[in-house]
Formats: sequence, C-alpha cells, structure tokens
Amino acid sequence: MEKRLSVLCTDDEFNPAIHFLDDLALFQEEVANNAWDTWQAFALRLRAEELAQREAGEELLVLTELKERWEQVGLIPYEHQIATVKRVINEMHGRAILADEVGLGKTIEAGMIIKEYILRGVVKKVLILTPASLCRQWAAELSQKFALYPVIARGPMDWKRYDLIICSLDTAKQAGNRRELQAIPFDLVVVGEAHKLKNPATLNHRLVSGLKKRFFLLLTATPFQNDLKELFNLISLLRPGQLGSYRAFRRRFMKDKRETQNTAELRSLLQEVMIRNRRGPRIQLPPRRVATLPLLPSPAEKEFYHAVTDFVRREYRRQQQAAVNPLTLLTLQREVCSSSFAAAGTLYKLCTKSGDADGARIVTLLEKAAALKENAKMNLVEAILSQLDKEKVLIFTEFRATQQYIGSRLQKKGIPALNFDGTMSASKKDFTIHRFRTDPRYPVLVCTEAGGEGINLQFCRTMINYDLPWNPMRLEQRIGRLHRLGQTREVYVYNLVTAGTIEEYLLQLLIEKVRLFDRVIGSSHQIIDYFTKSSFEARVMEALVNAENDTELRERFTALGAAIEEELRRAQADRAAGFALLEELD
Amino acid sequence: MAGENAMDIRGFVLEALEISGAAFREVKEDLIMAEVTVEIPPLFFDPPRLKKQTLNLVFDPEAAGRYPGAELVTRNSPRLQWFVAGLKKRGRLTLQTLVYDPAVAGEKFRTCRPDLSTGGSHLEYSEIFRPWLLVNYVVARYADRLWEEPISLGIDMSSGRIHEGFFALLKKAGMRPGVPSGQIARQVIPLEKAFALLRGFLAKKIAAADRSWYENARRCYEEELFCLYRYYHEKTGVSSLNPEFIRKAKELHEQFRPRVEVRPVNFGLIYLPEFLYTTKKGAFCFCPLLEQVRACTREEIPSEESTKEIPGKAYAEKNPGEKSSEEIHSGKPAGEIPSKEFISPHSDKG
Repeated sequence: MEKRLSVLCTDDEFNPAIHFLDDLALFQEEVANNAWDTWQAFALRLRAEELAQREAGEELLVLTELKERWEQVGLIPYEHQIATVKRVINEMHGRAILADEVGLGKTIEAGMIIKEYILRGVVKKVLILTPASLCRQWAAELSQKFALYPVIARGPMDWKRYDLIICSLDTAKQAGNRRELQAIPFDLVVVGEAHKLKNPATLNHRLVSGLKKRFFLLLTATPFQNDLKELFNLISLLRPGQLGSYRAFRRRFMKDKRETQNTAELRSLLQEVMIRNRRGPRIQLPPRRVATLPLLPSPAEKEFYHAVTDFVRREYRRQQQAAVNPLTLLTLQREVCSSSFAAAGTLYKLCTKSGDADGARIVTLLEKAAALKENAKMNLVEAILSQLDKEKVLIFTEFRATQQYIGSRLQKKGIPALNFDGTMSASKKDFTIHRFRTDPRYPVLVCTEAGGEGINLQFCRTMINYDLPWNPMRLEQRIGRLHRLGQTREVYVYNLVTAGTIEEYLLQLLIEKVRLFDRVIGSSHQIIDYFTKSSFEARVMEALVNAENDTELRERFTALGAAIEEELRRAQADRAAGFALLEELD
Repeated sequence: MAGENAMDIRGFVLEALEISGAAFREVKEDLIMAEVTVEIPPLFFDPPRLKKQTLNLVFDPEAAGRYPGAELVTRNSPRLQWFVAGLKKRGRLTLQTLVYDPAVAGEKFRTCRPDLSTGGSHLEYSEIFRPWLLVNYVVARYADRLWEEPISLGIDMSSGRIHEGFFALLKKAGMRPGVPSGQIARQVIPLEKAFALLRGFLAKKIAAADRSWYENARRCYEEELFCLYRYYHEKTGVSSLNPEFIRKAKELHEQFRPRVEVRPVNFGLIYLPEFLYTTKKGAFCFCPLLEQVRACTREEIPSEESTKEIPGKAYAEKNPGEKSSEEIHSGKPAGEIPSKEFISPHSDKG
C-alpha cells in the first residue's frame, strides 16, 4: 500500500512515542521518608521483576502457566487447540473466527487466547458476549481452567468497574447499555455463538460492529447455514474488505446463495481469517460402546403402560373435543415410558382438572400406578451398578419424579447417589459436580436432562439412559456430557428399553435409520439442522396414536424411518457444495 | 526471563523468605517449610487483618511426588507470582557504599596502566567516594505485542557520565549499607538534571535499537487499513469521509500503534570509591569497579595530608562550602544535617 493512501498514518503519527514513567517528585518523597532498604531486598526486587517479565516469543506462556492447574482439573490441551492459539496470536494479530466443529473446544481455545494475551501484558480489558444461557458456563470454564475470574455483568457499573466481563447479548444490546459499552475501549472482545451476528440489520450485529476493540474473536460452529451472504457478513464484521464488497463477493464467488465458484480462491481468503478444526484422523475421540438392554416389564407394569397408552391414543384422536391438551398427552406418553411415578404426577394433575367422566378413568389409571410394586428398569440398574465396581456412573432421566425414585432405590440399596437437576442453583450445581468428581463415596449422579445441559463430565465414562428422549439431538447431548474432547477412555452407554413399548420402536429407528450411535452427531451439521428444525417428536406421536395395534405401529415406524432416511439424504446433498468450502478449511 | 531452573527459583524463594523475616526450614534440599504472615484482603478489613499460613514448597515435579500436599513452585506458578507480588513492596530504594580493598585496587591500577606504576614500590593513595545514582529500568515496547527489556544505568552525580549495565557490575562487588566514612566528592549534577540525562541516554538508545518490531507493526497496520479502505471505497465510494471507516481505522491504529514505556523499577544511591595515585607522571584517579583511569583535576589532586592516614581531611578543608552527597537524599545543604544520624547504616532496614 502506498503510504500516501493512508488517512491516518503519517510518519509522525506512527513514530513510537516514549513515555517515561519516572517521577522525580515521588523519588524525592521516598528519599525524604528515608525509605532505604537493604541491598539484598534491592537486588531481589530486581530479580522479581525479571521473573515477572513478559515475553513476546512464538511459544505460548499459557502452557507453562496453567500446566499444574490443568493437571488438577483434568484438561489436556490438544495439538489442534495449541496450533489454533499460536496462529491467532502470531499470524492473525488476534482477530479471527474460531469455527471448529461442535465439541472440539472452541471455548478452550478462546480461554487460552484470553489468558495468553493477559500474560503477555497486551490485554487488560476483555468483554465476552454470549447468549444468556451460556454466561455461567463461560464463567465456570474461565475460572476453573484458566484462573480467570470474570464478572457476569448486569449493567454499566459492572463493565466500567471490572476488566474481565461476561455479558449476555440481550443485556448488551439494550439501547442504554449499548451506548455505554460502545464508548469503552476494550482490548479484546469475544463473541460466542457468533452466527447470531450473521445479519447486519440486527441489533446484535450493530452492537458488536460498534464496539471499540483491538483484538476480536468470533466463535461459531456454523459460520453459515443457508446462505453464503451469512458467511460474507460474518467475515466482514471481523475484517471488512477481506472478501471485498458484497457486490464484488457475489460476482466473484457465488453461483447462487448456497453454491460457490472460484472456490479455491475463496477458501484461501477464508483461511486468512478463519480456523476450522474438524474431527478426523488427527482429532479423534475414544470409541463409544452402546449396549441396548431390552427388559421385560412385569405384568402389572405392562398393564399400566397399555392402559395409559390407550388413554393417550383416545384423547389424542378426539383432537378438538379432547379434554386434555395434546402436549400434555405427549408428555404423559413419554412419562409412562420412564416410570409410573413420572406418569402419576401428570395423571394426578389431570384428575384435579377434569370432569366426572374423564376423572373416573384417570383415577383408575392412578390406582394402577399406585398398585405397582415392581420396577423392572430399576432392578436392571441395580444389576448393572453391582458389576461396575468403583466406576463413576451417570444416570439420565427426563423426569424429576423418576430421578427421585432412582435416588431413593439406590439409597435403600446402600449406594449414595447425587441428584442433579434444573431446579438447583448454579452454585449448588457446581458443588454437586465437584463432589461427584472428587468424592469416592458418591459413585452415581442421577441427572435430569434440564439439569445436565452444558455440564462436562469427562472424568466419568459410563452412562445409563434410564429412559429415552424422543429427540435424537437430546440423546446426543446426553452422551456428549461424557463423550467429548478430554475423554481418554472408551465410553459405555447403556440404553434401557422396555419391550413392547414405543421406546423399543423408537430406539430401533434411531439405530437403523439415523445411525445415531455409529457417528458423533455433533460433527454433522445436516443432522443437527434436520432434528433441530423438524418436528420429530410430533411425528413419533402421530405414528403411535394412529396405529390400531402393534403390527400397524411397527409398519408406521418403518415408514417413518424410510421418510427420515430420505429427508436426511436430501438435506445432505443440498448443502454439500456449500459445506465443502468449510470442510476443507483446516 | 526464560529458562530459570528449579534451583534458581528455589534460591529466589529462600531469599524472599529471608528478607521477609518468615520462619522457615529446608528439608533435604527438596522441601521448604515456611510460616508466613498474610494479609486478609484489605478490601474487607481496615487495617488489614493478618494471619499465619504454613507453606510446604517444592521446586521440581519429582520432589512433588515425594511430598504429597506440597506446592510445586515453578516459573509462572501462582505461588511464585505471590512472592513476586509481595516483593514489590520492598527494595525500591537503597543507599550503599562499595567496599574495595585498596591493595586489590592498587594491583588493578598497575594492570590497567603499567606505564604509570612505579615498579615494585608501594603506591601512595588517597580514597574518595563518588556518589552515583543507580536506576534499574524496564523498557517496554508495545504494538500488537509487548517486548520488555531490563536496563540498568548509573550516573555519576559529580560528572554526569552514564554507565550502562551498572547493576550487573555492582552485583559482584561487596556493598556496605549507608554513606562512607571517608571523603566524598561533590555532587555537581542536580537530580532534575540527572533524570534528564538518563532520559536522554535512554531515548538515544531506544532510537538506535532494532526497529523491526515497529516496521512490522506499521506494515500490518497499513495492510489492514488498505483492506478497510477498499471495502468502504467499494461500498460507498467515499471511504475517507465515512464515519464508520474513520472509527474502524482508529481502532486499527490503536491496535498497532507502537509505543515505548520506560518504567523505573528501583533506585540506588551508591558511593563508589576512587583511588587517587600520585605518580611521576602526575596524579591519577582510578575507579576499580569501572577500571577507569583518568588524570585528576586540580581540585582533586591530593595534598600530603590527604593521603591514606587522614582521609577526607584535606578535601574538606579545601572545599569548605561544598555541598555533599547528602543533598541527594535531603535536598538540604550538607552542613545543616547531622549526616551520620540522618543517613547512617543504622537507619538502613538491613
């Protein structure tokens, strides 16, 4: 670039200014105060300064600084993470999009970059913007793994007062807050889930674009989903001009909104500002072993299951005339697959709200539930636990009533279990996880799905799915608590399935058609998108209520499986061209 | 500073414990057990509360295995940083006199200037102490990275000459706290001027140093700016007037703008002995620390009485109205200060 072109860069403006921080008056005051110290203290002070000295070498200070802490918390920095941090700092001047696939540790990479910059003395004021639901998780990761203690900011006082701030995008973009934040010069801004910034017309985008920042990290596993314009917008937010103007980008690189042309050139431009690590030969997780354990329900359990299913089926078919909301029926059907205790809660609520005729039917169901003395699933759980010796075990259920039942049964058996659910405060959650990890007296954690969101339990490798969520993504998220980066051992997943129930058909569908357990879903955008957007649970329910008998139910599930298989294949083909661009970025 | 080994770190911690007055003992050169007093954060208590804490410290991972529960202290470990932070309250100023054996000085003088020495015979000498101001600095160069470099300068307060690497020289020598009891040379350079001279020296040194860090920052900045310019130019046709462009360009400037910060770490007032020799070729001053020989000025030429037997007397008689180095500490004329009480070895914390 011609120097003349620069509007700001005259030689004078770019010449290094020297600031002397020596203060004669202060020195004289100290002398007047007779503040002499010994020669040994004087020399040691200088030595301390040398030990605290920061270097700008190619090697990362964070690796030695946190070695001991990482050993304590069981974090192993992976080669791809170290390489990413080095590249961001040494080559990309601290401005990058970290677009690793789900589960490869983007947060760890960002934490390492933040810590490294702080250690090098070039960053002090840091702002992390993330969806509200992830604020606490970020805070926990930074404190546990990086000895960084951020404040989750609620308002202007916080971001003025503190240097390391986590703030939800929703809080930050409120008009008053936005103005305040945009007036503060931040050394480093990190945005998690940065795909929320893909539209420049949104407040999210305008907020982040207007922040004063020297270094800038955007984190997302999906830099674009449907339209290459999203990718353009994200890159232009990070480095305006990297892909030229939108008009030029469209002309040069877009065949249509999903397909690229001059792909090699585009890829090379993306590589300058974006790092995308993918699973592959270099980044592998230990294998996962999945065992499906079918069990025969007791006659009473079988009778209760069929009675509730018939009730659900009848009510569902009545549609407008039904006394019960279809969503409640869906829940009830899932509950009865989990345990009679879970179903009893909903039945009781229905009973108190319904009229006489319906109420009598529901009371009958409640009486059947109360009469149940056996629980085949729990018997199997106890049998599994008795064979696992001192291994830590995570038991997942969808429902709190089931969770409490599991806990009480284990208690009776002399196996102390910890409960973990969404009603617990964040600090209690932290404490429970800590206790589960460190206290050998507690070998079992019984976790509800709502509670388990976002927790990392790589120290444990055995999971029992007491019941099955009807959405495959949720099942994958459960497994992801254990089977993620940092897990060093084979992971064992036990699925408990009651024969003759919808769980049996569902699991078959997930295994055969979605091939859920053959691959890590987190690596496949197509599958994530498909199951996030499609009403999978509703389709399962439709199949159940419309089938007159088991044979018909089987046929309907076969048809559903074939449809899903075809839809997934089409979704994959549809996006193949666009994603090929990203998949070859590493 | 890279490459500290476990022994270096251990030595540092031991010294830190020693000067803090903490009780400690070493176990088989592996483990240090110490009882230290720590402040409960003064944020919560005023005055801060103090409590005793026991530390078990080891310095290499193997030893950590032998002493379960002991803290491993390595470079960048939190415990080492704790010691480093604690030391920031100490060692800011020191007042020392360099002790030099006249016989060794004489030998050195002969080696430096064999042409001046009278072969074999004993050299007659007198000793005079020159006040030097020692300043240890850290020079930090910032762009989008930071480079730090320690620089130690000494300035002779009676002549204004500056010596680089001053602390490294003194480190090897023997020091005694306080002012010397002998003759002290006149302080000619006021403190303001000394500070200005040191700044001038540093500015020249920085200007003459490797500028690749600055050139790289400038190149990166210009590349980034060009990219930004092109974007807004294509988008609006008037980049330079676009407020968003100006704002983002300033952001880039802030990221890459090179700046240098010079921060003093600590100051020492050091009295260096000079030996005045009278030879057939004239009178010479010899500074054994710096190994420098120069011809004495007329004022400095020692009289008969000012030789070894009566140090300081002649100088004092010849320069009755002179300011002494005490002015550096007090800012008041020397005559007004009961100097040995004001700056005596006893007032030194050591």
